[in-house]
Formats: sequence, structure tokens, C-alpha cells
Amino acid sequence: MDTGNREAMIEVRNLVKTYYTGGKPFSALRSVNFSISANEYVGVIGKSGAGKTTLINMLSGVDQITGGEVYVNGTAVHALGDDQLALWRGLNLGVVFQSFHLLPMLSLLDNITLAMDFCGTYRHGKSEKRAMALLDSVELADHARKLPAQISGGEKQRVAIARALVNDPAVILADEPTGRLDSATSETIFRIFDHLIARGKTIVMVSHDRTLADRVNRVFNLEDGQIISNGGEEL
Amino acid sequence: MTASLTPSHGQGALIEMNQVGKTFYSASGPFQALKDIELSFYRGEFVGVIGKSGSGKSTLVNMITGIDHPTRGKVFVDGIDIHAMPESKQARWRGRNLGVVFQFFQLLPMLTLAENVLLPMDFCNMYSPAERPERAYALLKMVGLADLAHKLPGSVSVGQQQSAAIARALANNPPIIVADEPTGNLDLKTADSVYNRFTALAAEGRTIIMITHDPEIAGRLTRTVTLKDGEIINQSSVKTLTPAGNTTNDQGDVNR
Amino acid sequence: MRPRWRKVIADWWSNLSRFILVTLSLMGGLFSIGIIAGGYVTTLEDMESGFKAISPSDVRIRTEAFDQSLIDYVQSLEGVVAAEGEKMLFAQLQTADGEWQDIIIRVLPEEEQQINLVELLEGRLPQEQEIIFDIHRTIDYGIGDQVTIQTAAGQKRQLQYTGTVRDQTIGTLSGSYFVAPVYGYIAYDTLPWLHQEKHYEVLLVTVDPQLSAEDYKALKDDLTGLVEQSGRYVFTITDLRNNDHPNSGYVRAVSNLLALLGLLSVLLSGFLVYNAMAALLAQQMQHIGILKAIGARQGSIIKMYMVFIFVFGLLALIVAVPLSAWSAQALGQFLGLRLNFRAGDLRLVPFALVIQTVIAIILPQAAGIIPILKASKVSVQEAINSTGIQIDEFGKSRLDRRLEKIKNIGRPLLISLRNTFRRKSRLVLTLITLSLAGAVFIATFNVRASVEKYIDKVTAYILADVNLDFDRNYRINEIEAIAKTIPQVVLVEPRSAATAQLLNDQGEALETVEIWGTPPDSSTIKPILLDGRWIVAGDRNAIVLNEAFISNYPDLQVGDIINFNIKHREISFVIVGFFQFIGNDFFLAYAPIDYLNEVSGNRHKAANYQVVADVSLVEQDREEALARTLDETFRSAGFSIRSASTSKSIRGNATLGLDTMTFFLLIMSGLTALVGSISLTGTMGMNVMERTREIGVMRAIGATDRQVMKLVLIEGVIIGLISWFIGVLLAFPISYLMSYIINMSIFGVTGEFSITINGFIIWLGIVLVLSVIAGLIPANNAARLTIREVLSYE
Ligand SMILES: Nc1ncnc2c1ncn2[C@@H]1O[C@H](COP(=O)(O)OP(=O)(O)OP(=O)(O)O)[C@@H](O)[C@H]1O
Ligand SMILES: Nc1ncnc2c1ncn2[C@@H]1O[C@H](COP(=O)(O)OP(=O)(O)OP(=O)(O)O)[C@@H](O)[C@H]1O
Ligand SMILES: [Mg+2]
Ligand SMILES: [Mg+2]
Repeated sequence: MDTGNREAMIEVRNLVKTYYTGGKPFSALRSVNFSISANEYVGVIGKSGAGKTTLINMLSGVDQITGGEVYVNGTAVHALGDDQLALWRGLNLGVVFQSFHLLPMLSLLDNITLAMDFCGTYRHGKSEKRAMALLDSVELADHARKLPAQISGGEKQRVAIARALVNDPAVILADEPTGRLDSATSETIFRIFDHLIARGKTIVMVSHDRTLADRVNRVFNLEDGQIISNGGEEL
Repeated sequence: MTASLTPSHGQGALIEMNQVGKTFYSASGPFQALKDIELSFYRGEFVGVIGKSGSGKSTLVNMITGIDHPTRGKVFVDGIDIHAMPESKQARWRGRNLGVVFQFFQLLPMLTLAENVLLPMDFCNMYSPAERPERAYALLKMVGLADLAHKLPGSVSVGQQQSAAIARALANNPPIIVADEPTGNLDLKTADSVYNRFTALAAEGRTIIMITHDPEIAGRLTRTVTLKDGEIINQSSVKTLTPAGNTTNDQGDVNR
Repeated sequence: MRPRWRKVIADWWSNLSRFILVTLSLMGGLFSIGIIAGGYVTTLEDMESGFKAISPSDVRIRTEAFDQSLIDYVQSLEGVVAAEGEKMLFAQLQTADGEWQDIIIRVLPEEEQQINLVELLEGRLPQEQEIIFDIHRTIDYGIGDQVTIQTAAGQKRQLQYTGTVRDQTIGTLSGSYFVAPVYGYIAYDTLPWLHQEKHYEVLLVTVDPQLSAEDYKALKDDLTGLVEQSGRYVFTITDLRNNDHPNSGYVRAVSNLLALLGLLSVLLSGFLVYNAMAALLAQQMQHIGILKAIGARQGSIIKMYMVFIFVFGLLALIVAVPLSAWSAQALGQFLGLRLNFRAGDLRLVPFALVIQTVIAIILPQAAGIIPILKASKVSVQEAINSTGIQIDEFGKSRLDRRLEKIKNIGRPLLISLRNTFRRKSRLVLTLITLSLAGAVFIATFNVRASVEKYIDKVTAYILADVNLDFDRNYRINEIEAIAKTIPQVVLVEPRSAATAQLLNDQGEALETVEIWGTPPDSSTIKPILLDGRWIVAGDRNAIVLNEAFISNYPDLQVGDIINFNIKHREISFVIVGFFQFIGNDFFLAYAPIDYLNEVSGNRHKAANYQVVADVSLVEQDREEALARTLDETFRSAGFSIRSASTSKSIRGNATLGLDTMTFFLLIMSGLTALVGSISLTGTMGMNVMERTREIGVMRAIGATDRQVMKLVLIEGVIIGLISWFIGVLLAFPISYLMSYIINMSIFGVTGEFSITINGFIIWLGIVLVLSVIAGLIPANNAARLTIREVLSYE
């Protein structure tokens, strides 16, 4: 099996995603190619509907790939079965969804420990401590026992970030992680991300933040399902 | 100066919050999300509500829209104590006078974007049935969704859902628009066009209250209200407003 | 505890009303299966085992007076298990208000009872000058009271009432348990007190069950010979060896109906359970997507949901099993009381338990696995995004396009319509469940109508106003003359009876048949003819046979010659027709009275008379007055009269058995209505609950509560009406099938089939009311919460 470029942490070749609505095809991604090396910090920008979320979904394997190849950390995402994908994702990726996707009936703490449970990294007591530490880092330790319905929008967003980091993944995919945050709180999050980069992680982040370009190594600009500029690398 | 911002009811304030407090009870114990808020809004204002995440912004605007009830205090909109209004009257009143953009959009999943925009007109019987589709289409076009009018919310991007929610809030051409982070998921360009639209509406005499985190927007606002831990810690001054009501139109008046 | 189990527990508790709805839905289904399957198994079993337990007589020989010595002799014969003497007295019992009511008094043998045992329910067995009663008729007295008996000869005697019994043999001979009068039982030693001789007139024999048919026949012949050798005349010899309980036809009808209903209710409950589970898990689609997104593999998810679902089934099972076992027993008790068998004690029927367990435990798992597998077929993203709408299907749905085209249909109405058809598979299942329940409900009404129509026709055999029964034959013109002295009487029609043996070609006796002699073209009978014609003027050896002949001897045809042994003479009749009477395997025939009297040596005599009065005496008490006058007139003239009863009371008694059927059907319709209601309420409730958040959104953008309610109600009513319509169509075949079962089981022929509008209308009402309630309660709930709470509802 081709494992892609060895130095590249993320390698995407001829990636195509087509949605079918009422039988009509709609190409959200048309032949996207790029590679991201380990420990790179990449920002993704583009108009609403440009395909940013779609791209992140392809990298994390939460949505079916229509065509092309995606390698992340040496794994051929496009070739994995559903079950293998779930475990692999849980252990290797931290995904912050644009709509958070917290489980409504579980407290914030349980939402985070649950992610450890499924990946076999849950240890009673120890895991709760780790989850609390993560909640504390996003300034939510006081709210740990609340349900998602009982916290503000920005707080939900931060829970989603904490959950993504719980298994200490090598790659973090974040879809608008600061979309609902004020500048001060955004700053906290960005600092967490900087810290992760310093620890050798790889981050791909979709953002509309005006300061994005200054924070990341590279910016991909998506338009109509294609990367129109990727901050240096040849297209 | 602060005194002039909070004139007593009847002296021109469209929305008046009197000693409004809100306490939530949850597993973490009681939590005071709003503490004795005294605040007024005037016709033709474009007010930005800012503050850190969790400071109480959404809670505050929910008091104005009637989406949540205060624990203490009263809210008057054009002299009406809205929380004293029976629930059944409140719905119709809200539909005609308030355009609400929710933080999580709240589109109806089984209706297309166009139908979602049509719905408030149907419920409140605004505009003639023949006019409604045209109007809905025009609004969607304004937010850049003309091509997606017949898609269901589940099959468009998050930003597109947000845009549709903005279009829906404007459907009944309400005198008051309350928007909770309407541009949180929008790219800068799309956000800009929304701001333009709001500025124009404010100029018509409508009142716009918007929660935002975007520092760039400040220049367009007539006033900002800053919240911290459920309290107002700062308000910028009320800018001189173009007297809209008398001459050109009466769009900003609340329907009773 | 691991976080995944915390999620499962939170799923149960975070939405209590949904938890209750689903559990109730399961319970409803399990309950109906339990009561039906339990009832099915127990009624038949109880009746059979209960009847065996009383050692019913195999041979019954009515002869002239005999005593214990003959019994002892018979007892010593090889193949005889037990022999016993019996005597029956026809008398009258004084009611509390001084009237007289018919009573048959069975004299219990001197020795301990061995055959046709009566089962003591209360009090104690009678001693001298005491009496006990069978429970099938209620009487005016309680244990300890003194009752007054008037013998056929007119003597009045007081007896002490000491106990009640169940006598399962009632109806064995008369053909109908339901027309039987009060039964009393006295000790042998009481006979002199009633001015009766101390002797027996009937010999009861039970034989070795191992006996082959030939040996049995030989034994029977030996018995007859033996009695005749002793110098006694044998009036009748009745073979009861293979007879069931006298009401077995009814019990068979009930249990066959239960089998059909059981089959339907298994289907119904299956759909119900499946639907509830599908609805429950549809809401979990997003969660399954999220779980997968954070690393859960299919195996873990399946395990979580299996446990999640298991609890619903287990809870429902724990409640439904005892409840249905108890109800099945109550049903058995009721039927036992009405149909005179001994219903067993409370028990678990393994067969019912197995079905219940499968439906409670295995089916939900099967239903649950489907959405989980579905969720794993689509990508995580799609699972998360799913709002339960089949998105792709939706855009191109033809129905939807058609809805679009209706101008000015209005968005709110469109939402209702679209919501209705939103979850197509769930809708289809709901409709199947509801339609089936509706069809069964409606069918029970139709079957009752059919049975009632039949009852009407049966009463056509007893059109006269008063039925006079004498203890022995009297000359017809003598009776006529006396009866005519009463001014109201316009017609007195004699009826004579003869017991005959049906003979085969070899001249061997096959069956005991009761032949009634009637004047030709009788105006007091309007028979239901199945074939041929009735007795007309000019007929001589013509005979009309009842349905028992058709079911036992299907080869018999109109025009055939049929031979009987009447008073030791072989008599031939020509079959001119077949008629239908109320059921059982009881052989009955009508022949011209003159001919019958001639061959049975009773010329110009009869013991039974049908009296018609001049005005049509519609009111029961006027008929009763006439009956009393006749009774007194004949009694004072020295006639030995058994009873003078109004036809209305006879009709009432005759239809009691069928009433039991209609009452039973009513219970069944109630049960199906219950299950149907639960299914509708459950589905509607879940549908509306799922949309709590949408309701909040609508309220937030200007929909008044009334508008929201209207949406919910229209949706409920649409589902209700569609299901009603399908139910109406299904009701016809099901009604037909149920009528067929009843008629076949009780009468052995396909009988009446009738349709009544009642069931259709009542079910429509139920469906509409339920759809409204099922929608209103959750919608109302959603309206009570603040919009913020509703919007954060998942
Ligand atoms: N139902 C609830 N129960 C308990 N606490 C609540 C509830 N709803 C909100 N809160 C708390 O009230 C505070 C204010 O919430 P609010 O939603 O108004 O914040 P916000 O200013 O809108 O924040 P954001 O910018 O993150 O949306 C938060 O700290 C939140 O945790
Ligand atoms: N399930 C779907 N079915 C059909 N079309 C879809 C679906 N999801 C997204 N799309 C379309 O694909 C395009 C790209 O969507 P995507 O969600 O990737 O945009 P995005 O760049 O993340 O936008 P935003 O900034 O608004 O979140 C959009 O035009 C959207 O309408
Ligand atoms: Mg997106
Ligand atoms: Mg908020």
C-alpha cells in the first residue's frame, strides 16, 4: 500500500467531494492537492460555502470521500473502513467541529471523558483529572458539571476544543474554533494552539479571524472547492 | 451623560430594561447571569453588545425578545411590559415586531431555505400570499443564497445557514432586529454585506441590537454596551441619530 | 462507572416522558399477547381437564325403577369402571315474591358419587330434607335459607339450602346448557319427604378408557341386555363416551377466535414494539454519529444500545407478564362462569411467556440494530446531520411536488402534511398497527351483529306466547278444550317428543336423536332452512333434520331415506329438509306429529303445547299473566304440569350462550382499542416530542400556540383518518373470518354475516379523540416551557 510522502504529515491528492441533493450533483471540492509536513500550522480561509468544512471532514474521515487520496500520519484515510476509522480518529486526531457536536445528556466533564472511553485511554479517576485540567485551560472548570444546554455558545465551543485535545492527538483539525469567541477568549485558544505546535503537533485550522495570517505558517485560500493559493507550495 | 442614556419610560426609549436580573439553577448551583440591568434602546440605534464569552450577552438579548423570562425586573418595549403579556399574544407580537437571529440559527430542518424565510410571513399574515415568495427570494439574494433557496438547511454550509437565518429575521420587515452573533460563521466579505444591510436598516429608523465579537465593526455602531459577569461595565455614547420617524417613513414604529 | 454507561443512564432519565411512552407501548403489546395467548391455552385446557375430572358417564340408560342391587351387578361387569343410579325430578321452586320457577332436582346416589361428580363450591352436601343448587342460575336465596319446592303432583315441601355446586353435565341431554332451568340436588333419603319412591331411574356407567370400540359396543349391548333381562323396559340408551363438555362448542369458538386475535395481536405488538424502538433510535441517530466521530466503534455502539433497549423491554415484561396472566385468569373465570367449566388457578403459560419474551427482548434488539446499522452505512457527517428526514428522497418526492402545486396551501399546512409523510417507514408501520387494531375493533362489532341477527332467527323456533310442559302425555283435544276456556287463547298447538336411535344400513344404532312432532305448516315455528323444506300438509313420514346431521353425516341429502329405532321398531323417514338450530352436537329432528305419535304409540297425545294468545302480547308481564293462568287452570284440574313458561323467557335463556360470545367479543374489542390507542398515542407523542425544538422555533418567529396546535392536530388527524380508512377495508375480511369461526365452532355451519355501522363510527371517534390527545399533550408541554428551554431541547 502506498503510504504517501513520508515526510508529509498530511498528504492530499486529487481530492474530490461531490454532494447529491435530490439527485443533483454539487461539487464541493474539485481536485484538491496539497501536503502538510509534521508540526506545520496551517490556516484555511475562504468564503462561506467555499468548502472549508468539507475539506476538514475529508481529512478526518467523517464523510465519504468521492475521489482521490488522503493520507494522514501515514494512514490512507480513504481506504479505511468505518470501524478502523473511528478508532484511528479517536487516537490520532483531535477534531473541533464547527457545530461542536456535544452530547446533550452528558455533563461537560462526561462529554470529554467519553472520548477517552471509546479509545481505551480511559482510566478511572485519572481521566477525570485530565478532563478537568483541560476544562480549566479553556476557563470552564466551574461549569464542569453543567449540561451543554446550560452554557453559552462560546463556552460550548471551548468544550469542543477541550474534547478534541483529550487523547493528546498528533494532528488537530479545527473548524472555526474561535468563531464564537471574543478577542480575549480567542487569544486564550490561540495560545493553547501555539503551545501544541511547540510540542510538535500538526494543526489545520479553518478561521475567519483577521489575525489568522500572522499566527500560522501557511494559509490555504479556498474558493469554489479549489485551493487558489496555499502560501508558497506549488499547486 | 450616563443619566441621559437611561431616561425613564415614555421619554422616547423604545426598549427599556428595569432592574433586570436572571439567575440560572444547574448542577453547579445557582448562577447569576444578569445582575440588575438598567438599559434603554432608542429608535434608529445600531447597538453592539460585546463582552467576554459567558458574560451574559445572549441572556440579555433573550430578555428583550421574550425568549427567556427574567428572574427579577421588567422589560418594556414601546411601553408594553412584554413579560406580562400572555404567551399566546407574545408570539404574534414578536413575529411582527422582532426579527431574531439566533446564535444557533434554528432553521426548521424539514423546510427549504426559501420556505424558512416564508414562514414568519405566513404565521403573521404579513404581505399578500402572492408577494411572499418574491420577497423571500429577494432576501435570500441579499445574503447571497439565491442559488440555494431550494436546499434544506442540512445540506448547506454552516455560514449559509446563518445567512438564511438573517434573511428570515428580516422577513416581516420588523422595526426591531435582535441578532446574536450573526456573523460568527461568516467570512469577512459576507459579514460586511450584513453590516451594510443593518446600517441601512438603522438609517430607516429601525432599531438593531447585535451581539458581536468583531472589533472592526465598532465604527458602524451608534453605541456599544459592554458586559462583564452579568453587569454593564461600559457604554459608549449615543451618537446623534438621523431623525427618521417624522419625514420619510414610519418603519421604525412598533406594531401593537 | 465508565462514561459510556453514564450516557446510557442519562438517556433513560433525561427524557422521562419518552421513556414512559416507549415502555407503555411495549407493555400494551405484551399485555394483549399475554391475555390472548394465556386465555387461549387455559380455556381449552381447563375445560377439558376439568370435565375429565368429574368422571362423566360414558353410557346412560334410562329405564324403569331399580335399586342398588342392579348397580352392584353392573359394577361387577368387566370393562365397567363405575356404575351409579340417578333420578331426576321436575318440580318448581318458589321465588322470593311467591312465584314458581322450574327446577330440575337431581337425586344424588346413596353411596358416594363416582360419576358426573358435582363440585362443591360452598357449604356442604345435602342430607335429609336439605337441598343444594348449581351456580349457573342465580336464585333468590342464600345458604341457610329454607326454600319451598312444589312437586309435579302439587305437594309443597320445605328444604334447607346448604350449599352450592358446579355441575358440568348440565346441558348434556337437553342440548343446551343455556335453556336449562335451576338445578337442585338432594340426598337419596330425601325422596320420601317429597312423596317420591326411593329408587333410581337412570343407570350411569363409566367404562375402562382402554376399551376398544368393538369391546365398548359389546359392553353397551350387554348392559342393555342385562337391564332388559331384569324385566325393565329400556327407554333410552345414550352413548356419551366421546362427548366433550356440553359447552365445548362455545369454548372452541372462543379459543379459535383467540387464536386468530392472538395472531393479529402478535403482528400488532410486533409492529408496535418495532415502531416505538425505531422512533426512539431515530432520535439517537445524531448521537450515534457523534459517538463515532469521537472514536466509538460499531461494536461498542451496538453494545451500548442493546443495553439501552433491553431495559425498556425488561421493564415492560416485568409489568406485563403478571398483569396479563392475572387478566387471562380473570377472562378464564368469566368464561368458566358463563360456560360452566372450572377455570384453573393463576398461572404462567409457558407458550405466552415465550412469545412475550421474544417480543419484549429480542424484537426490540432487532428493531434497534437497524438504525445503528443504517447509521454506520452513512458517513458520520450524514448521521450527525440527519434530522430523521430522508434528505435525498425528499427533494424529488412526488407527493411533495404535488403538495407544492396546490396554490395557497399555506406554509403551516404544508408543514403538517410534510411532517406526516416525513418518516415514511415509521408512518407505514404506524398505519399498519393502527389499521389492524381498528379492523379488529370494527370486526368485533360486526361479529356481534351477526350473532345477534342469528339470535333473532333462532327465536323464530319459539313464536308462541306460552310454552306448556306436562310431566306426561295427555290427550290433545282434552288439553285444547281446557286451554280454550281461557278467553285470550286462540291457538293451542301440540308438540310431542320421541327419543329415537339413528340406525345405519346394518340396523345398528348410531346416535340418539330427539324427534319433535309438529303439526304441518306450524304457525309457531319459522325455521332457518339450510336445505329443502319444512313439514307441510300431506306429509307423512317426512322428517327435517338439524345441522348436527350435516356435520356428522355430510353424505345425507334431501330425498334420502333415513331409519330410526323408535320403541324397538325400525321406522323409515324421508328427509325433506335441513334446518339450523342453536348448535352443539345435539341431534334434533322435526316430523309430522300424527305420524310420530302413531309410531311411538301415543296416538292423539302430547306432553308439550304451544299456546298463542289473541292479541300479540308484546309486554312480558301480560304473557306471564297468561302463563300463570294456564298453570293454575291445569294444576287445579289435576294435571301434572311441569312448567308454563313464556316464550320470551325461553328465548332469553336460549340466547344466553350467544350473549357470552358477544360479551367476550366486547372485551376483545376493548383490548384491541387499548392496544391501538397506546400505539397511536405513543407514535404521535414521540413524533411531536421529537419536534419540541421546531415548535420552539415556530413560536419564536411568530407562530401562536393555536397555530402550533393546529399543525400538530392536523398531522394527527391525517394519520388517524388514513388508518381508519385502511382499517375499514381490512375490517371486512376480518369480520367475515371471525363470524366464520364462531359459526363453525358453535353451529358447525357457515352462518349469518352482518355488518353494522357502529364499530366503524366508534372507532373513528376513538381515532380522532386519541390523535388529538396524543398530539396535544406533548405540544402543550412544549408551549409551557420558555422558548430558550425548548430551543436547547434535544
Ligand atoms: N440554563 C443555564 N443554566 C445555568 N447557567 C447558564 C444557563 N444558561 C447560561 N448560563 C450561564 O450564564 C452565563 C451567561 O450566558 P450567556 O449565554 O448569556 O453568555 P454569552 O455572553 O452569550 O456568551 P457567548 O459569547 O459565549 O455566547 C454563562 O456563564 C453560562 O454558563
Ligand atoms: N450535505 C450537503 N449536501 C449538499 N450540499 C452541501 C452539503 N454540505 C455542504 N454543501 C455545500 O457544499 C459547499 C461547501 O460547504 P462547506 O460546509 O464545506 O462550506 P464552508 O466553506 O465550510 O462554509 P462556511 O464557512 O459557511 O462553514 C456549500 O456550497 C454547501 O452548500
Ligand atoms: Mg464550514
Ligand atoms: Mg451567547
